[in-house]
Amino acid sequence: MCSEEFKLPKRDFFDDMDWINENRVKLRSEYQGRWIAVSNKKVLATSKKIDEVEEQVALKTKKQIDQIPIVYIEDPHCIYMERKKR
Amino acid sequence: MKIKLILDTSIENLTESLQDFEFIRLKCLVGFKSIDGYSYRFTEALVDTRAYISVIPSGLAKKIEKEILGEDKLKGINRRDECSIPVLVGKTSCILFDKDYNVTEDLLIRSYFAKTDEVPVILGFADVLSKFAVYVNYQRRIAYIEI
Repeated sequence: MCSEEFKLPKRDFFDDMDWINENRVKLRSEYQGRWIAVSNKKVLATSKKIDEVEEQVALKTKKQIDQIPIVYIEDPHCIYMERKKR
Repeated sequence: MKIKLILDTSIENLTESLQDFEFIRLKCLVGFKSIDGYSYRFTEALVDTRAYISVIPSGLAKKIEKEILGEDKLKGINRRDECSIPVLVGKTSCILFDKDYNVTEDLLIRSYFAKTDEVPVILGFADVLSKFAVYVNYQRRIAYIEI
C-alpha cells in the first residue's frame, strides 16, 4: 500500500465506473467535452469545469467526493500530442 | 501484481466516410494525492503511449499535491500556436489501481498541469509507462499493467 492512511474507494465507486463503461456511447452523445459525476448509476452533475461538478455534487449528495467517479467525456476525434520543448 | 486497465470501446460515427467506427481507448484508474496529504482524488486516465509527460487538467491540479517547475505549451496535431494549450510543468504523486483493489505504491510523476479543464487526464511514458510492462490484447479484451 502507498500509505497507512490510504483507502481506495468503496465498491459503489467501481459499480458506477462499470456503469460509465457500459454507457460510453450514450454519455459521449450527451456530455462530450464535459466532466460528469456519476452516483448510483446516474449522472449526478455535469459541467465543463471540474469545480462546478464538485459544487453540484456537494449540493446533491452526502457522499464524499472521493467516492464518486468524476470523469471527462472526450471527443473521439481528438488526438492528444505533446510539443517538444525547443 | 497486475493492475487491470479499462478498454473503452464503442461504435462511433466519426465522419460520413467513417461510419460505425470502432473507437478504442485504453484507460486506467488513478488517484492523485490531495493537498491535505491524507486523501486521494480518484478518476480515470487515458493511457497514451504517444505522450511522454502526463497531463492533468486545471480543476484537478489545484486540489492535489504538486511541485511546479516551469511553463510550456501543449499542441495537438495542428501545430499552430493558437491551437496550443498553456501548461505548468512539474511533478505530482499518484497511484494506479483497479476494481479488484490492486494498487501501486505512490508514483512521483513529471506532469503538465493544463490551464484548462477541457482535457482528459493522460498518463504518459515518463515515470509511469516507462516503469512497468503494459500488456494489451484487444482481441481477447485483456489489458493490464504489470508491476
